[in-house]
Amino acid sequence: MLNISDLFVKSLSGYFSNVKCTRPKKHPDYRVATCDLVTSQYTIELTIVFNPRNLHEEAPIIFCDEPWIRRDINWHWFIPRKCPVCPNTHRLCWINPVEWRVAHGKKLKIRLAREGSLWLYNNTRDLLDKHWIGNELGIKLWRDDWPQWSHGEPEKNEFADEIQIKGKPTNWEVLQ
Amino acid sequence: MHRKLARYQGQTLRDLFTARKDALRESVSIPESLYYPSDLWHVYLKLDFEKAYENASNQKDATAFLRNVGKAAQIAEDVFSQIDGALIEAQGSMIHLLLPGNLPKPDLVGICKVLDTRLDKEFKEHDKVNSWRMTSDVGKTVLVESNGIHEDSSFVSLGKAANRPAKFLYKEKLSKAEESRTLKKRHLGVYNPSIRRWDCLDLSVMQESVETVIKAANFSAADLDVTVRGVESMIKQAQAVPIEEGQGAPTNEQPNVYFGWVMRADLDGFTKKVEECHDNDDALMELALDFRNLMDKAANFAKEHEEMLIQLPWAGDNFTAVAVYGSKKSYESAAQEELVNLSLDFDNALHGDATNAGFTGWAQGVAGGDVHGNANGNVFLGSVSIPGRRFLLGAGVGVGRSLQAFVDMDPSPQQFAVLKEDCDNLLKPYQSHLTDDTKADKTSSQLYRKGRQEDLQKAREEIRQKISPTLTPTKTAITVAGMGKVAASSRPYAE
Repeated sequence: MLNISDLFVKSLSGYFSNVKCTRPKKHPDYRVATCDLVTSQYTIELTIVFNPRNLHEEAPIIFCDEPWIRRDINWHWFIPRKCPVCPNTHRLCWINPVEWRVAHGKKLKIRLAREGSLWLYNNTRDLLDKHWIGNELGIKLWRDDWPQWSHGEPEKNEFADEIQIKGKPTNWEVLQ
Repeated sequence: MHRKLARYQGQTLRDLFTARKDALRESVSIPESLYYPSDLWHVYLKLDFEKAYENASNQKDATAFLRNVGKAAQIAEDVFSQIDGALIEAQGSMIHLLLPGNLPKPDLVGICKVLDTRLDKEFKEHDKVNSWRMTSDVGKTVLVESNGIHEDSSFVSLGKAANRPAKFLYKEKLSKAEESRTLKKRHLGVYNPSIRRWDCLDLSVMQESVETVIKAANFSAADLDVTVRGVESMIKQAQAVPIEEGQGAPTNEQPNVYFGWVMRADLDGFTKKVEECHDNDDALMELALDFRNLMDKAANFAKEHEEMLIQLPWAGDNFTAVAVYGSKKSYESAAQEELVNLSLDFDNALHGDATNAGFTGWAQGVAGGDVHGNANGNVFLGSVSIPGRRFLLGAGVGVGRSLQAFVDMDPSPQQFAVLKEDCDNLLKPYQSHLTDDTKADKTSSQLYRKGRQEDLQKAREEIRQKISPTLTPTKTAITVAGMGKVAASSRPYAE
């Protein structure tokens, strides 16, 4: 039977090319997957770091570095909480960590791997498409019509506020 | 229709603004804000500000600018109202006044001298207002009231005599060095139709030697007597009247401050059509009706556009709107694309109306300017208040530079002249079509770039096509405990 790490990497292989996963010697709890995201407009190499034991709680961290990446916190590319595997490296903030935690808290491994990998792919692709278009068109500032979680200290509880007011975050739609 | 209104010919300015207004409104076929052609003197007063104030980049300088224009406007209204004149518009540092057309030329010179004296007294420090210049012409004019624009009381005047002095003043002021100007500081230029040139009189020396000035203007001996007496009495009268404090918000001491850019659209072919109407009241009235229709359409555009727009008073045939935003970030975010889109929207909405009325289209000047780090805005809106009336007044880099764009770049119909520093912040497809730096005098501009509507419209389509797929975030179906199946839209995060 496959463990969560293998299941997750296998699922990622359905969306990304050249997926390879290693276990860093210095941080044996973590896995580092490298892969290519290939679209009709661009190809970009990604590094995905995750902790299989804690995948329910902690969203994978994604690193990438191409010249067309908009290197700006407003474009959701910055150094957040420390990642022991790649400290002091900018990453793509493709998901609100609380969203991931709430969605996957008590999920079966196979479902976590399947849904989590697709979610990672969709959100990362969405964000990178915006970076690519931003570079193509010379968009300097994140557009107002592109949804995002707000920045800054007062917005830290935005997720909880939306749950309290609407019963769910505004970017979630309950399906029948 | 025109015969019915003919009885109002020869009315005084006071009649126009007050007593006869209700009677005019009785006419079913004439909009209430349109007045039958009358012979009027047009006097334009242009204040020369220190550079920092004309294109103010902070609230302190903008307030100083607005305060001083307000003072000058109140003085001008005060002086001119003594002989049945009136202030009809204030545009930046330019103030437009009217006098009855039957006023003898020497009396016109006299009243302008009175104004010069009052201004000299008010601005004797010369620390902000360096000097001023005036131009004047007389002729048949239709007045069109700018109804319903944020309670502004400006009038647009149509007629050769209304256009000519303003154009001469701008041409003189903006495109030449002081020593080579025909119209020097504290001079009055009066159009002389017999030789088709401007007689420029030095008002600053007039008090010392009225006779010399009058002779220089080739006025008759009889005129001279009238003028000398007129100047003296008028100075006394004018100085006796205190400036009243106006009412209404925004004020010049506390202007409304916004982040935004200014779009000016100039109706091309207007001057030619006005000149074609020379001495033809019916044609002038028809032109006024066409123009009034365009004013209504433009006002509707400003009201209905999705950007928040503040319409400033028309400056002759020049429509002006300010796109305003509440924060520097939202302004800068919008300006990279909407600065051009707004101009395209305006042209798309009103080009047909302009050409149907016989004009060649709209040329545009657009400017916002870079906002300094801690500035609380870059567009400042104040007002000039005189008893019973109020004139909205804009200040800031965008206000000044958008106007200067027409003098520097002379854009053609369906051509946009955009401030270079704004071009640098635009999306690349727009930048690639705003490359023409040819000035009106064929030299290269460091300040502006021009582009054609057709090319910019294509760029807009290209941008739309590329942006469109990014506007709908991808949804991922996930299962959430207690909620069941959820479609989660992509929404990036930053701590």
